[in-house]
Amino acid sequence: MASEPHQNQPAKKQTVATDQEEEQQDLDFISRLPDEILHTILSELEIRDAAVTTAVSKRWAPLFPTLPSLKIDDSSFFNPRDTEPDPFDEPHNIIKLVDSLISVLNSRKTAFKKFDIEVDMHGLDADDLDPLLDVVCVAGVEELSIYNTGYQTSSPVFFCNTIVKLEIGSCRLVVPSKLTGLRAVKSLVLSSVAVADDDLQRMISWCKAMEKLSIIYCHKVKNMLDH
Amino acid sequence: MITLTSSDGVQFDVREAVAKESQIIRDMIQDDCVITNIPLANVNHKILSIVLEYCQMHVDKTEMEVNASKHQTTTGEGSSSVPVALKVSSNKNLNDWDKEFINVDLDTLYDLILAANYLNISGLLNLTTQAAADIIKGKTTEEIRATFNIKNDFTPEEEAAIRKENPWAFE
Repeated sequence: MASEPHQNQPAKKQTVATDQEEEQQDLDFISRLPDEILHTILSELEIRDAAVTTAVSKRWAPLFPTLPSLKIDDSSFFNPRDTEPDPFDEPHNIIKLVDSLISVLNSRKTAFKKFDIEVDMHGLDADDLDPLLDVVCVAGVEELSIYNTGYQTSSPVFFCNTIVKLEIGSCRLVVPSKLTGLRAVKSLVLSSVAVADDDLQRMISWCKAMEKLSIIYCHKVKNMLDH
Repeated sequence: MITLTSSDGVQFDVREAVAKESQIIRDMIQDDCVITNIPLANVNHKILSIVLEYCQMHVDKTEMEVNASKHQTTTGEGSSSVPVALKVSSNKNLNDWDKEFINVDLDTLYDLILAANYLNISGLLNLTTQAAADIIKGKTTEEIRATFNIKNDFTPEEEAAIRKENPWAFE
């Protein structure tokens, strides 16, 4: 750098600035938003809608692969343009999507911090989503939220030691007798969860780092002992 | 009263509580409690007036709720159902108001996102980014480009390669 003639530098800088300006002017309004805000927008979308944006333009292509927060809901399992989804296709769709998502998560360059899953499917088996949650938990997720009717909380969750914020809702909570995870959980939310008293007791007393606990609409919870 | 000056020199006199909806202004007032005039270099008067409309509404509603709960504690038992109902309806009204408020054209939405980010107004940032997400939701790549007027700068080969990275999303 020191050997370069000084008078060349300002001219050089100006060219760079002009190039950037031209590039900026070429971009439409939304594409000019900083990555951080575009990430916030994409994190509101379920995973399929977010992934579709990779093919929009070069500006958008790297956003989904670096998105720190991912979300799955019922619509993730169906083609949005398929107006009458066949209910008998459900299990097939779930397995297919779970396989695809696992390869997506495994090929990501950056870690994701937050994972939200909200599904309401009667055809769902307790362990359909376990392989996916396995990958999510191994990947070091810090905020995990699982809402799903009729589903039993997946076991990988109980062995994960990176989750700081855990939210479980609308499901049956069966806590394994031997716990090894949940050591980092500071905030736990249980909402509309069916759980046996001793299971809940075991889980709460195991979460030594816990600072905040919310139990909402859990009708079967009768006895709560303060530890 | 606090005077906020937009990037194009228009002054807005607002109550301190309204200005404090912005985290950046809240910090400034906390650091210097005699500050009365704050210039905002990145927000023009058109967008600032919309932002302040949002802050004003949210401060008013919060104050109304506080007053309602005060009323509840002073009047004692028996009348408690009235303020609760009021609170519920005011929350509902505020959500409806937000929905109506955010029904703006794309250029304004873009400016509001930038202003909410710069002024650090978390409620407004959530509202505006959610509105942008709702526009993208369920759309194909082509529909997203057309909606936001985004130029496709991929070659057909490049686009095919990108689609191949997440084929499940394009099926």
